[in-house]
Amino acid sequence: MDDNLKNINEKDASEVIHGSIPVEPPVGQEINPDMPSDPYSSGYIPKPGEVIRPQHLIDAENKNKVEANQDQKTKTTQETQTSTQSIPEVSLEKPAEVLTTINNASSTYFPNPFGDTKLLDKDAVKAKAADLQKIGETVVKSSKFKKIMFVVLGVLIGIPTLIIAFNILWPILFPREEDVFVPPIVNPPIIREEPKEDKTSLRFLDGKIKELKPSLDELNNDSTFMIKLRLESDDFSY
Amino acid sequence: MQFILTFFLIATFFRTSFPAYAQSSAFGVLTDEKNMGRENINLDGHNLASYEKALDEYIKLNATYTKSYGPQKTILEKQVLGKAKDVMTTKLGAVLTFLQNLKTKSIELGLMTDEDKSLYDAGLAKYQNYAAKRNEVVANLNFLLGLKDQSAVLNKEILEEMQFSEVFLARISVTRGRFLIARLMELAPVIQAQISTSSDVGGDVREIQMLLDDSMLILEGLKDSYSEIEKQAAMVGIAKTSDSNFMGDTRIANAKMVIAYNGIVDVVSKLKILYATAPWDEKLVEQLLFPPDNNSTKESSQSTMEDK
Repeated sequence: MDDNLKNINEKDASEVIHGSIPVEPPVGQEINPDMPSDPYSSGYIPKPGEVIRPQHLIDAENKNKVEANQDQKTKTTQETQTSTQSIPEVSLEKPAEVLTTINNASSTYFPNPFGDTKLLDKDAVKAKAADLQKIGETVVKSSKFKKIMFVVLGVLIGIPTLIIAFNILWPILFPREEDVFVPPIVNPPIIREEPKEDKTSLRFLDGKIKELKPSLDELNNDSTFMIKLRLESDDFSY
Repeated sequence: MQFILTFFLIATFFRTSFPAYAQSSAFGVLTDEKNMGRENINLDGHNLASYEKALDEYIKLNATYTKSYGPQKTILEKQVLGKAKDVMTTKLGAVLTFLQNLKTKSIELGLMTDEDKSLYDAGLAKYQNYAAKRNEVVANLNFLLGLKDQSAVLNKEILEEMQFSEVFLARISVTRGRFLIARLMELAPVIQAQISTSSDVGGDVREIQMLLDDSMLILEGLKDSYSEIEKQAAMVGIAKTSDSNFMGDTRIANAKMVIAYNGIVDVVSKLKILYATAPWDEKLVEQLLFPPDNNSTKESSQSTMEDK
């Protein structure tokens, strides 16, 4: 909280307690008519919730009301005096031309926007529009205008047409290899090649190793034949 | 009533006549005493599988025999003896078949000259005579006692009689071994490329790389081993002496070949698993597919090598 505000609040609180500053009753709180003009000196006991208003505050309010009524009366008298004197004051300050404009305002369509003080009437505007139409017709009918329009239209239509035609004609006149027409092969021959086995695959390795198994078995059986036949021992040692 | 009694007597007669019943019953009557339940009397048409089958049956029957007593033991003794004879006959026959097949394989692989062929035929004929005589001896065996000694003698004689084939066996092993080494070495760069690609895209290939390296080192060593075996076999020739040990070296080399092959099979199967489960880094894949320039590719390959 700001220090100044804090000081003011503390001051206000002390003044309310001691009755030095007038205190407004809360909103909607009516003043008790039974309360004496000086409750502090008369020993009046206020009701619960009732605000005791000091006498000097009541006096100040009455004084303000009286002053306000006097101000209102003086103001209304001044206004009546000024309304009677306003017309001659204006006529002295405004120029004569303006007064005529104001007086003739009902006969004009619109003010002249070009700073011309003269006002245009309806017939003059119509005449000017007819003149403009005639001028436009003569311009359109002139050969110079037709030449200009021909050139403009030629540029607008001719250039895109040329671009499109160039894109179409250029590949025909100078075809690239990929643009050359190749007739589709009818009934291409079906080439059925045996799928080449990947000679690095594990399956291939496994197959190759298994192919060697019969040779290994024969090698093993030949050399172990004599051992399996128990030729170096006897058969009946059981 | 008379019909029922007749049927019962006939059924009882046939029931007790089946050898299978006799073998399954510990106190049954053995009716096939003449051949003692023997299934393999002749030498022809036997191989390693028939020998192993006969040996398996002997082991089972011998187990029953050791637990038996009384008349059952007497009967089972003859059956066990018959099965032991089967084992020895199938062994003689399997060796004969093996020698015949070895000749065919050697001819197919171009490892047998005309001179070799005549010598081989002579050796094969000699073995056939020996096997026929020995099979008669086996058929006349009457006692289980001394069967172990008979088997030991038989094995020793068979080894001596089939010694002429060992050179050809070594030659076939060397040829097949070199063929396998060449084929597997051809596949090695492709496998390595697969491993490198997997590594570049973020796969953990350390174990796979080690497996491949081990297999390739074994194959590299086998080149020298087979050269050495070939040299020994050429020096010894058909008249192989018992002191030469190239057959043992051949067995070791072939066993190493099996290890190397299985290692490469493991590499491929692990790569399959890696491809199926690895969450590939898409940015790395893009870099591999579309390398920005040579410098960055070199840098990435260097970093990959460092990671490895």
